[in-house]
Amino acid sequence: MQVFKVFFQILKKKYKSALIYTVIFLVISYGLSNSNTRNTEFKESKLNIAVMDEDESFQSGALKDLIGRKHTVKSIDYDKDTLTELLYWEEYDYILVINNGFSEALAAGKTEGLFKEYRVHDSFSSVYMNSILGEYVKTAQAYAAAGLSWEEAAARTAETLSRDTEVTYWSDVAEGSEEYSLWFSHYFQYMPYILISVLLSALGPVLSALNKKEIRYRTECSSLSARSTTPQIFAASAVFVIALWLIYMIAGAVMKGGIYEGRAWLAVLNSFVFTLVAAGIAIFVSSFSLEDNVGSMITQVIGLGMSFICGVFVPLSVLGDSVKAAARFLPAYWYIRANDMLNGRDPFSAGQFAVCLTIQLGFAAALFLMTLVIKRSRRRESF
Amino acid sequence: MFLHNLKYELLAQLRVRMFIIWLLVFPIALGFFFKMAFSGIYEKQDVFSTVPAAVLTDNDDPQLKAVLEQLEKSEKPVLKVSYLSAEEAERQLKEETVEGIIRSENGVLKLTVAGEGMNETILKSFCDRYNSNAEIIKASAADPARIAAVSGILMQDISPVEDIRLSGGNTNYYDEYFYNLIAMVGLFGALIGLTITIENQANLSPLGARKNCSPTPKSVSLTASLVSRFIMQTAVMIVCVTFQQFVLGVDYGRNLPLVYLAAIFSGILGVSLGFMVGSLGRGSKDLKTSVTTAVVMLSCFLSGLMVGNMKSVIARYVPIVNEINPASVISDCFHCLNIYDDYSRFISKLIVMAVMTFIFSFIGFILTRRRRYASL
Repeated sequence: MQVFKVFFQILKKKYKSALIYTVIFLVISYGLSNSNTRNTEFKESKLNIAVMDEDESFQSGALKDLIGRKHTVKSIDYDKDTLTELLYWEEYDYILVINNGFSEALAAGKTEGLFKEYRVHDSFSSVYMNSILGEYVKTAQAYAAAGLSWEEAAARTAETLSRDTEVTYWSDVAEGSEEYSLWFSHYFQYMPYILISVLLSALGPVLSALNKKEIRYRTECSSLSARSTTPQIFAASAVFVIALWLIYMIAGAVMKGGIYEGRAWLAVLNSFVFTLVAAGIAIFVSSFSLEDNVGSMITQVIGLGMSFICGVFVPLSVLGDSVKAAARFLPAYWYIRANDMLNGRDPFSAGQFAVCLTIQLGFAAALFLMTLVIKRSRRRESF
Repeated sequence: MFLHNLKYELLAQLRVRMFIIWLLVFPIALGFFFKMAFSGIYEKQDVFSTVPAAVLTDNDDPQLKAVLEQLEKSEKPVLKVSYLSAEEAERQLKEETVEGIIRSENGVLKLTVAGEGMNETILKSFCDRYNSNAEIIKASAADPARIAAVSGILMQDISPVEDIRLSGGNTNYYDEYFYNLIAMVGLFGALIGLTITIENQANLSPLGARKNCSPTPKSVSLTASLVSRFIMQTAVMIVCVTFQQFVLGVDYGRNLPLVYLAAIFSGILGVSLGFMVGSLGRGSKDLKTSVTTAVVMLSCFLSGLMVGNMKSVIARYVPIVNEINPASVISDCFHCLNIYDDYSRFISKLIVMAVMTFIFSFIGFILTRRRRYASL
């Protein structure tokens, strides 16, 4: 048990980085877990619209009321720089200025220069709102042309434009279930990044220390055989990795507010399989006995790189086909595929889920085998 | 004395080859991954493109056909319509080739969609307009004298909204990820900065012990160490920006020299951050490396490296964080250069970076000087 004990003695000196990552991850996960459930009825996109009403007339008020029925309308008065930031970051989807003299121009039958729109992106919201405003103008003028007074025309316009088309919402997509809702799945969504980061920054340095040339030579010429040391290192790594995974699972259960149920257990299984992959990556990288600084950068390259192209930070649905094709060669892609099946983004299929797990296990096995090959070749070099 | 120290500090830096290689590979590899992940997303997700829709051929509605033809002829058509049978339309909706199915029942449009988003909302808005226009025409039909005027107004193509563009720069906010990548590379200079204290503190390295008993004043050797790291990190930042601009083709706008300037400032800021963190307390090299990495990653997370709109979320709740978080200040520099025509915001961010660099270096010097050892 000597080597087993040494492993944990070294870990005692290196555990702080794992602790920092874990605390930050748990705090952020708690903050990011916001409600995001699917509906069975179609709902129109609700836009955030900022209005600067220069006209302040009955007509402009009626228009604001009409827009406010379906969207969130806020009156603002900001400088151009602030407006630019608000639009750039999509805090507002549309910024409308109702020009001074709007009601007179509308009454005179004018159709140009009634509104201004501040724009940063050529967005869908712009096209949509411009068509709504155009429709408002045409409908109000049509009612006036039909002989109604402007007050009546405004009321009828609001009434007519508030009517909704009958929409059939056709959802083939499975809903996030109660056991594993879409919001809770975010906790598991970010797990590949954190598992890779924590294991590379804690397990990696411990194994690197044991693999250091001088230490390795000393161990190899000791009375302990490789048959005794390797299983001890393996057992100690397994205890650490499983303990870490258990901490995340318990924290997840606390965040969820109870024991996992139904599909959530599959997410737990998926995360366990990916933990093996992350451990495989850590063991593989550490077999090169890198310096701490270099290890830290490699951790970020592998963790961030894989997370970005495999859909951890950006949903797989928005990634291009070529990116997804390349991501298939990385284990995090299969983890996310399985997670998407569980949270309802993709239809669930037990067979496909099993395929995702098997491929991840394949990656883990390949990483362990490659590490063994490297170790064997190094051992040959040393004699 | 200073130049002598600087020369050997630089030579010593260059000999840690593995570290230098990774410092260069790191931004190149991540930049490459980012490019792969984000190319085309802005155009696909945010920039308006014509919405594909299916119209059922089962109930032939000449009025609808005429309206759609007129719509498709307009300068910027909103819809791209395919006339399909019910089975084919359903198949295409499932395959997401069309965003919705429009069917006319007794002159009233009904819609079938398979998702919720702007595309579907635009389709519904078209159907709403069509149905309301039909209703207005029907209501005014009682007075034949007015019906021509009413339908004339409803059929005209008008543009009552004047569009005022607020920025002439690159508005693809996915490029913020690249700005944050530069911020991260700059701040990772902290790992080089950290070595200053490790190599000057007698309890952390044999080199530190040797330096502490040399007659060279600490101020000179520390300044030489700091300046040599500034030079190294400057070279890294230049390579990083050059790779992003000329190989990956990230659009940094017209002010490339200022982009290089901001990147160099960010690298210097990173080194001084590491110098300060390294000087705090008597922790081991490992602990200091872990703390530095965690500080850099948290700073980058808060500026949007992992979740793109994090900066705007923070601006809503705790705006002060964006003003003092080093990664946010760095990425804001590039953002301001890209979005605004005047340089006042850019200059103010650059000044904040310079002040931070001064404060970090000052704290580093204060904490590192006068450290005495009972025995070496």
